[in-house]
Order: sequence, then C-alpha cells, then structure tokens
Amino acid sequence: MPTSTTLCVDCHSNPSSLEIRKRCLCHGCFRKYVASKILKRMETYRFKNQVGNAKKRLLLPVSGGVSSLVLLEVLDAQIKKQLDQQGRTAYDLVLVHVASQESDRDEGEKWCSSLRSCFELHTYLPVVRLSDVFEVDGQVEAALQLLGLTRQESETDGHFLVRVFTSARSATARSDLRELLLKRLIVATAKAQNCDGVIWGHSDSSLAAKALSEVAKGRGGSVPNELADGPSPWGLNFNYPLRDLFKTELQLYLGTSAESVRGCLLEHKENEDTPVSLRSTSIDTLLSTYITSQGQKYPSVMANVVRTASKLQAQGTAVGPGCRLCVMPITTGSETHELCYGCERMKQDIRE
Amino acid sequence: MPPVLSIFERETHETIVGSKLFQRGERIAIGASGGKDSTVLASILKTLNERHDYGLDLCLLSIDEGIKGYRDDSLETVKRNAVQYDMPLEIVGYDELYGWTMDQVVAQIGKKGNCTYCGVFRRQALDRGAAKLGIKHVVTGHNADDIAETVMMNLLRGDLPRLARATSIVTSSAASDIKRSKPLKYAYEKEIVLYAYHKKLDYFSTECIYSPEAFRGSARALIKDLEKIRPSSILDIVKSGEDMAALVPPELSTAVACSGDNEEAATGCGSTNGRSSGGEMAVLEKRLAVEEAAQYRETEIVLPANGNSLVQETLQVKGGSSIHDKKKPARKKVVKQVMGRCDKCGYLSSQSICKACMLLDGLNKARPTTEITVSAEEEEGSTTLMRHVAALEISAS
Repeated sequence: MPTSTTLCVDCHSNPSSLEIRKRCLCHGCFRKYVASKILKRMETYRFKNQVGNAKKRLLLPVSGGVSSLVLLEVLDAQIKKQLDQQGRTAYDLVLVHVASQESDRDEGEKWCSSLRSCFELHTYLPVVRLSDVFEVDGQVEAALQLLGLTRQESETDGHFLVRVFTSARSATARSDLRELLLKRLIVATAKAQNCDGVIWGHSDSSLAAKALSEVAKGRGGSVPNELADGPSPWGLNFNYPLRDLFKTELQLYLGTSAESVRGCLLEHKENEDTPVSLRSTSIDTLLSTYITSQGQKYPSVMANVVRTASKLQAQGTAVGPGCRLCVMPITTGSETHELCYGCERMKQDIRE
Repeated sequence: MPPVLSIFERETHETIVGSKLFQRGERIAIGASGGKDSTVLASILKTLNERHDYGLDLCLLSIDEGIKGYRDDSLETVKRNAVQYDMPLEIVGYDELYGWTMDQVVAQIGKKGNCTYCGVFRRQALDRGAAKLGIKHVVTGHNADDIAETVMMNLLRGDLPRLARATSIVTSSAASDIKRSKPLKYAYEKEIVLYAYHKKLDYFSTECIYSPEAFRGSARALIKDLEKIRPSSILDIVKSGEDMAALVPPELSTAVACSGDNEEAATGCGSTNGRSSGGEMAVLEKRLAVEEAAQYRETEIVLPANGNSLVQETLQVKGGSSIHDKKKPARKKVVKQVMGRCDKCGYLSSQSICKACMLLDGLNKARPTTEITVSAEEEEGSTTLMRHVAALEISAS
C-alpha cells in the first residue's frame, strides 16, 4: 500500500490513495483514468468522426450492476460536457433495462425512474422482460424450432419461455439459452428503436470469462466476433467501452461516485442460484469464477486473454449464412448446417 | 473384447484414415516414454497395422533425459514394451547429445525454469533420434485432454503461434524435415486409461518429479473441472482450438518455430506433466504489469509549432492532451522467420545459433567447478508456488 507521503503520479500534488496497476493515484486522477479508458473506446462516436450531421442513436442496456452504472455515469458526463461546450451532443443514449425476473417489471420501472432522476438527459424505454423477445424478434421462434422447441397453441410468451428453460437439461445449456435470448432481445430492441449500435457494459474481466467460456462450449470460432468493437454479425455496431477496465477497478470507481449514483446500484441476486455442486454449475459461471479468482493474483494475465483473443481475425458475414440461432459463422464442414457447432452442442442438452 | 475397446480402436482407425496420416510402407517412430499414452499408442498402432494392413514399419524411440527415479524406471518399461510388441527400440540420451543430464541441469539452475531446457532439448532429441534411424515420421501420444489443455494454456499466456499449431494433427515445420503427428488427438484421456486397463498394458504411471509449470497446472485444473460439468467439453475445446487456429493472422501462424521452440516444449513429455518454469505465470504477470505501467512513464513530446507538419501528423502529438489520451501504437511488424542451420551444431534453426545451443552455452559457461546446492529459500519459494497451483480453487466445493 502506498504511504500517505507518496504523491499521485499523475497530478503530482495530491497524496495518492490508491494503487492502480502499479501506479499510485489520488481519487480524482483515478476517476479521470477510468473515464479516459472508457472514452478512448468511444472515439468512433466523437464529433470529429461524425459523417455529416448524422447523430448516432445508441442503445445502452443497463442491468443496474456496477459495470453498467459506471458506464452510464461516464457517458452521461461526456454528453453533459458536450452540451455545455457545444450546445449539442455527438450521440444520444437510449436506455433499456431488462427485468431480472419475469414478474419484476414494476420494480424495474421504479428503479428506472430513480435512475432517470440521476441521469435525466437520456431516453428511457419501458422495462422489458426476457419473454418480450418473442414479441420483438420475428425470427426467434423459428430458430428455437431448430432446437426442437415449438410454442404450443395458446401458450403465452411467459409460459413458453419457462418451458424453454426447463427443457434445458444442464445449467450450461440454460445459461447459454438465456444469453442468446437476451442478446436477441437487445438487438431486436435496438433495431426497433432505430439505433445504430449497442453499447455493452462488459468489463475486461467479464469479456475474458466470456472468451474462455465460449471456447469451452465449442464456440471458439466466434470469439473474435464476440469481442470486436465495430460492425457485428447482428447487423449493428457493438462497442465494449469497459474492455480495458477490471471489474475491481469499476467497483472502486463506483465507491468514489456520488451517493445518489451509488444508490442506484441494484443488488443482483446472483447468490440465489449459486450451485451446491460443481456438476450443477454452468460453464459460464465456472469460467467467471476462474477469472475472478485467478485475477486476484494475476490480473494482467487475465486481461491479456481479451487482447490475445481479439487478435484473432473476426470472420465477416461474407463466409456464408451464419447460425440461425446465434448468427455466428458456421465452420462445421460443407454440409448445409443451420446451427453452428456450439448451438448443436447446446441442442444435445435440450429435451422436452 | 469389451465394446469400449473395439469402439476406441475403430475411432482411432477412423482418425488415421480420415486424416490420411500414414502411407503404405512408411517407417514410423513412436515417441515412447513408458507412460500410458505412448504405451496405448504403440499397442493400438500395432493392432491396427496388422488388422487393417497399413503396411507400416513401426519402432519405438525413447528419450533419456537423465532423471533418476523417473526416467530410468520408465525406460525399463519401454524396454519391456519393445519385447512385448516386438518392435525395435532406440534410446537417445541428453547426456550423449548435450553433455548434460536433466538432473545436472536442475542441480545447476534450480527447480524453477528447468522444464524449458527439457522441452527444447527433447524436441531436438526426438528429431535426432529419428534421423539416426532414417525415419521421417514420429508419432506421439498426445490425447484430446492434452490438446484442450494446450489450447487454454496458450490463450492464457497469449501465445497465438502456438495456439495455431496446438490442434493440428500433423505438424511439420521448416525447422525439421521430420513430420510429427498425434493419432490419439481425439481420444479422451479416460478412454486411454480404460484401454490400457482392459488390455492390461504394462506402463509406468509416475509423473516427472520436476515441477509442472503454472500455466499448464492452471489450465489442467480448469479442464478437469470443465470435464466434470460437461465431459464433452474437452473435445469441444479441441474443436474451438481448430476453429481459432484458422483465425490466427497468417503472419503469426506461418512464423516457423525454431527447433526446440516448437509446441513440443509446450505440449508435454511422456507423462502429461508440464515442463516449463514453475514461475512462468508470475513472470508473465510481472512483465505485463511492468509494460503497462511503463506506458505512463513515457514523456510527452510537444513539437514546436513550425515543426515538420508531416512528422507532427505521423506522431499524432497533441499539445496539452492528457497522457491517457495516447494513440494506439502501430501494430508490431512480425518478421517472418527464415530457416537456416545452426552455426554450432548444424541443426535446422531460424537463428544463427539454435535454441538448444544457446541454452547449452549458458549452462556450459556457468558450469561450476564446485557443486551448487539449492538454497533453502529457493526451495521454499518453489514449493509455495506449487502449493498455490495445486490449490487453485475454482470448483465450488
């Protein structure tokens, strides 16, 4: 730990209070450091990179967790500054919150209004539920049919969703399905809202866990696509502005934020489904635990995973039609497959 | 014969035929350590060669690293295998090739880092042994678990060239005119153990007494946990590895590893134990952290206003900009390696001196006149790390 006499290496005037990546910083400079790392990844959307007067509309999914709150706080500050200095903004944020439980819509709305009182400049969409994916995504049911899951007559969206999850016989397939449906929901919402792109709140740590987890699920071929900033196979731009920041750094940042912002933090009920045995853990959870535990000792090694995987060449959509479910390129032989290897693998764990 | 055996034999046969691994009349050296993988490989190749009339001329090739209490015992197993399978056996020793046994190397450099030497030396030794026999194709017992481990390990340590090679069933490099292949690439370790058990094969099951490296240890613990969650994830990772290998930028994947620096050094010897420095993970952590911190120590240069505008543009220097606002440095140019011969030993190498000779040089220079003992402190450090690695708690237990 830095002693109280050590000065911050950035401003050289305040005593340092934090050691971040082997550098002693004061709180103020640490906050600048985090903001600069995020804004660097938002350069595509700066005024100078704007073509004509085309202001971008960007969808920002906010879960209410640490990462999405920090991201919102930093982007909100950038937009405020733009308004102050230029009287206009380079992009508009459209916020969407997916209710964690199907029944929690009202609570979600309540939370959204408290968020809005903190960050009032942006457009807030009504809270959506995962089952809304059937509403907004016209292709999802056809894709699920490839997994052998067909909606029964007069079955509601909510009931069908429950049946989809209960038919997944492994925690891994369940979390795989949830991630896929969530992504489809966000993308479809973004398209319905005429957004040009989605701003994701994944930290470096969660991207690393995701990369390793995709590899473990046989989805290694789509890893570079999953991590890339810019055009995605979904037909929208994806950006991961938190990709250079560890989860622990985001937690530190939020700790130094205003009380009103910290008050918006949604405690996620992750502990609820903490499995009792390894066998009932999902691969996603295992890898996320792995990155967290190893990250305590080897933070740079874990950060390097994302950098390494990002050096792989993302496959364009030009290589042929992608997987009907996850839209990623299909690499399995020349046969006419509709699902990629990873989705085929997931299908094996799905039985009615 | 229990059905597991016939299924395993049929699958291995399909891999061999499907990948067109062998040609009729080819002479094949089986890299034999006496461990379960290479023993099963020798046994199954003998069986399939006779059953399907591959027309192969098989022999066993063993490396004697000179590790007392490990290799001397496992070599006895290989000698018995040679009799059991009626195959000729060639043993190549580190001492005759390099003038050093691994025990002597460890006595000199300590328990940390010695696996690098072993890996570099083994690669050359297998090639030289094969060359001595006039054989151009060496098969090794690497199984799906080993390959999955290597895929994860190379992702963790950021080694794309090795990631590109890790999954290929045949590796031939310009560093050697000897082809390597892995007929058990798609075989789970569990299947191999079962096969060895049912066939009552005579193999040696002690792992190398020197430390496994941290990266492999970490990757192995991970693979074992993944296997518990979903047994097929081992082959799923192999598939992911194959797909990712195709996405490694060509300038990285075609860079030929120099002799000794090939994937062998990272893939494993006869036992599935690792063979690189135990502190490798900590070393990389330190290097990455230092590199990152160093970025911030760069001094900002502000050119005078009348400076060369071209230079200014190229450097993208902005007066008064935040030091965090740095432009991403241009991508490093990858120099493609050109193969030549080592000036010292004449062995194929991308450098003027091959890696084995470089390591030997260091060893020979420091060869002590008095014996060196490993200090208690060093021992302690190494065991602490081992304990950390062993205790990688990633399971929810």
